[in-house]
Amino acid sequence: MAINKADKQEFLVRAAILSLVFAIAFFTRLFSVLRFESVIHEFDPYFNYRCTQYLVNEGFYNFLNWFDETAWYPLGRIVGGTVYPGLMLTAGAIYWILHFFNITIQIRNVCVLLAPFMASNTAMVTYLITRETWSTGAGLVAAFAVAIIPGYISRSVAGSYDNEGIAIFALIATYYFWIKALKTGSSYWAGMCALFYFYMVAAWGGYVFIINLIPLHVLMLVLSGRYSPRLYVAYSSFYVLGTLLSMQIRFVGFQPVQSGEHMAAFGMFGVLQLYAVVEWVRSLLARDTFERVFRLVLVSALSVFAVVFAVGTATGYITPFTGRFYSLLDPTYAKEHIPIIASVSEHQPTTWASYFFDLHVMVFFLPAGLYFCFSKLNDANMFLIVYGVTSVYFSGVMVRLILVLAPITCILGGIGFSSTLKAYMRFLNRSDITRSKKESFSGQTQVALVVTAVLTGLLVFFSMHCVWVTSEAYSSPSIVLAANQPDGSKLIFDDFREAYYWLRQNTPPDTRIMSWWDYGYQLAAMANRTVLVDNNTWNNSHIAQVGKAMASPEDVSIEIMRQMDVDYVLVIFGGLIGYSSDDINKFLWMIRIAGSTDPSVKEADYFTKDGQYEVSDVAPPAMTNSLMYKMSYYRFGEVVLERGRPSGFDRVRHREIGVKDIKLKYLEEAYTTVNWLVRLYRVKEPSNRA
Amino acid sequence: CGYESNRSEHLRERGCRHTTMPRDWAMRGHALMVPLLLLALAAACGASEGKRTLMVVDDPSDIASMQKFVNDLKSRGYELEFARAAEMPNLEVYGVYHYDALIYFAPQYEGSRVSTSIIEEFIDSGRDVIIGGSAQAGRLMRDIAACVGVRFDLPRTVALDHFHYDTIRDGGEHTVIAAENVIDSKSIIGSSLNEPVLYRGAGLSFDPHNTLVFSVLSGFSSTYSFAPMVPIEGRLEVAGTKTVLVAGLQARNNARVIVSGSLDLFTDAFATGKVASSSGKKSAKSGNEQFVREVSKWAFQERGVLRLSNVRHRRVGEEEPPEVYTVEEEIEYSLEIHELVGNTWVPFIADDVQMEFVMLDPYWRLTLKPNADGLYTTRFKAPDTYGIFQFRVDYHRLGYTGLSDSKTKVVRPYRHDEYERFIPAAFPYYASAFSMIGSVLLFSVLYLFHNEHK
Repeated sequence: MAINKADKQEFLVRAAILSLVFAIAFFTRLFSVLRFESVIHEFDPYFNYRCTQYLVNEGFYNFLNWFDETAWYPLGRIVGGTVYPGLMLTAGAIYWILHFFNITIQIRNVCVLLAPFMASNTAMVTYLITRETWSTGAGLVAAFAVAIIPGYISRSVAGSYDNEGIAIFALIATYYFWIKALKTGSSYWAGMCALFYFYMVAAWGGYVFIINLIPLHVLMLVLSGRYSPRLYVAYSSFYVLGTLLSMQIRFVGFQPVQSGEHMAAFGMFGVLQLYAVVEWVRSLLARDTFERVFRLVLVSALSVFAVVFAVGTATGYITPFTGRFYSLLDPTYAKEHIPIIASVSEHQPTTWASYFFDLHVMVFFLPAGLYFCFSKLNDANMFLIVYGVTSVYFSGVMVRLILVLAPITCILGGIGFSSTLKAYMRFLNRSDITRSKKESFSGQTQVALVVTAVLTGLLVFFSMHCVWVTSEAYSSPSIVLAANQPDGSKLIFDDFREAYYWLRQNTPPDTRIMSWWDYGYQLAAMANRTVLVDNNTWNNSHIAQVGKAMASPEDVSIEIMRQMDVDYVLVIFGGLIGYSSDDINKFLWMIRIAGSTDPSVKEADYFTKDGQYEVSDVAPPAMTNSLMYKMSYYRFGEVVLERGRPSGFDRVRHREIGVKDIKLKYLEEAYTTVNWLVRLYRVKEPSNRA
Repeated sequence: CGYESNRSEHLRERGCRHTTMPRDWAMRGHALMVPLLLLALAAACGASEGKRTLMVVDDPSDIASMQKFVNDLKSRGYELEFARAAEMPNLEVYGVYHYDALIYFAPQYEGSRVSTSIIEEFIDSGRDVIIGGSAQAGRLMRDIAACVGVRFDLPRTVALDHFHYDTIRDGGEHTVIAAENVIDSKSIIGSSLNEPVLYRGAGLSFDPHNTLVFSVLSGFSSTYSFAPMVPIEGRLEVAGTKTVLVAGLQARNNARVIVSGSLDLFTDAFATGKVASSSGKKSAKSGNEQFVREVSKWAFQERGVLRLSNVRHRRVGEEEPPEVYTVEEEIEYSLEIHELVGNTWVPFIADDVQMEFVMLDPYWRLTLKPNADGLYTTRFKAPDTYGIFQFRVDYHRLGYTGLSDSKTKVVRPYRHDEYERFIPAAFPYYASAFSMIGSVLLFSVLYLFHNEHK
């Protein structure tokens, strides 16, 4: 009965810890709602939000067939076939369920709060997977760590309504069921694994990580002689079901059987079948006969596979890897070949500092966890090792993949942490000491005490750091900017919404707006107007056209703008308040992307003779004549910002601008927001008499 | 926009005061005022039907010298008012125009009553202007001409032709040119002009950036512009057939402008009496009277006025346009074009009206077929490309009102349930699936019951 009571107590403690973790994971992500308001953040989430509204208002089938004529004018976009609908469907389902119970929550609030809710769920699955692979204690630490780790919070604060928010949950759940399936060898768990894989495919393009990692794990197991019928059942059922299910997503379509990225999984499936056959044959044949048969089978299988792959590639049936995938394997690939991928800041390589910033002490416990996994190697631990090592590599290539690293860091960190702690805690438990003969050396208890204290301290610092990072770095909606004033109060810059609402209220509904693609989704969602390019950067040449219009002199640009029926042009200008991610700073990418399709736009023309990127009086004529320069600095030459500074002093570039009397020929200024952050220009009608 | 201005053109064309003024007022948003004003105006203008035209001259004696032209205008129903440039009344007060057309015959006036912006705004409001200059045209006249893309040659130069001057009227300087190069456009010149047009005045040229201006009367290859009786030095700015004598312009809002480098062109002295060109050609009378009449008819929208209406598109067999089209649908497109003849709109039949179905590039460019009522139709199949398409018509012919219309419509891809479901290519797969099901069932049965029979 006593043991039973202890079990009950432990269960209570465990349940209490888990429910606290659940709550913390949710509440720590609410800073942005408290600081600002319940608002969608950044860029992509606005599109997701718009999609969800459409889904909720028009129903599933209309969403599936939604042809959005306000995006990518005049090409349009088949939204239903070009999104991962998992996020919208999840939000929509929650909305419908709540409304069924007459909880009339707004769809916006569902969207804003979805990511924190999913983060809580992730913490629970992390607990499960760690418990499954290691121990309950490690699971609790891992769940706690993943609940507040900044690397994950950065993509899942309230309002950050993006695919990653639910994808991490799906990812960890898939892995949990994979390990479960592997351990039990039951096709039921493999089926669950495939189901969650399906959810992951519906949610995020990162599913490719799963469909390559699991085969890699299988390969490792086979190579290290850990092949078992359990593995065969688990992988075969998972692969077949998962592939069939993933093909149900329209955006994915036939990729799972055609694209190079999925071929590893397919190949592994084949290898596993062969291996099973070979094992079976081996059990039937004598040794030397078997070896001859084996060689024959191996050679013929390899050659058949090579021929199939070669023919498939040559006929174009198997597509080569996509650019994003290449840039994962070779970090310098994107910079040289695909400026549009390289231009995104979250595709840049990660710095050392951001590892510590995003993962804090877990960085140090990750190797510890790896060590413990190696020391007690089994099928499941091997998976953690493979996942850990690959994601460490990938996170070094692209800063956004810290997100994938964060959960495994917590799992391995949790294992490392709890194993270390367990090793020392033994000595602090009096009853244990008496039972274990004696200390190996004198003062061991004291050492154990110090180590335990240090570890606990680290955890405290970890949580303080996480909360601080969340509140300072990751809770800005980026649609509303805030700055601290000398007296400590906050100054809010709400220029983006000001401009978007101006457009919404002062222009006809079919107005077409040209801007750099970053603002496409926000314009569509908040201004409700047609845009030429947006954050779904599927058509490089269309973006290049816009880049060319921005980079060329007015006479050239007007031709492009007339062809595209542009009514308004929007630019972001940070020179007045010192907002550094404005269009002049992004301008080089516009030039580069324009130059990638139209050789007449040369990047070198926009640099000074000594290769500097300048806006001052040494700026080359290509720069000062460009539409972007003119629109950004139009009338700025008249502005004196501070005593002792010349007029037209740009606070981002810290330069006095080179051309102050800018005249526009085909454009006229339509609206400029309070802090000049957003500037809108109207395209004039052709002259009546010329 | 082309259609819109065209419609207002039509309103104005009826020439009644109370159609013009309420439009201006309505534009200013005084919705309540409109009915009141309409009543007041109806009472005020009474039976007056004419087009109010202001004729501005340097000197009242000029009017006396152009009696034929003036009387012709009056007989065509124009309400003419005369003013010296120095006393020119306001064309517009608070956005209300007092005149429908302007004849500006004051080349030498330089004062402040007239400015280029007044004339520009008059044209930009959709009203018509005839400008008459002379070799002595001053700064203001040059500027006014420049704003419609016409350049007077340098001061003190005159259009000259030593081979085609009128021996009867010329004083030995060879400046009275018997010009014959008249624009070949029925809409502007009417029926053919056989007699030479006498011209004495400045040589004109075009602003190369202006794409709308065109030549109505131009010189011979021997014509040039320079100071008379002076040996030519250096390069001639205006020479040969590029010497423009009378220029025309139809603005984008379909306002029409005529610029003549000569005032004498309009005088009675040039319109009557025999003509003997130095080239040897003789005729009983000059073509001036006819030329001036026809050109003023065109300029004041009596001719060459088209109206685009009833632009419609729909699925073949339906009446109303759908919300959106689907790829590969059959679409029917139709429009009507009428021409104003006298006071009635009659069907306009032409075989060169085209429409385009455009998304970035035209996917279709089709010539529309007219019927006797001026109804143009065509049918086509929407391309297998989705996007935001425009039905576009741009009909611009010399001397005619420019017609443009663009209607935007979405062509969307098939819905998920609109694809053909049972395509033959899929049959092997169906067969494969069903045979698989059957085999598994068979195999299961055999496997499960194999031992029992043993």
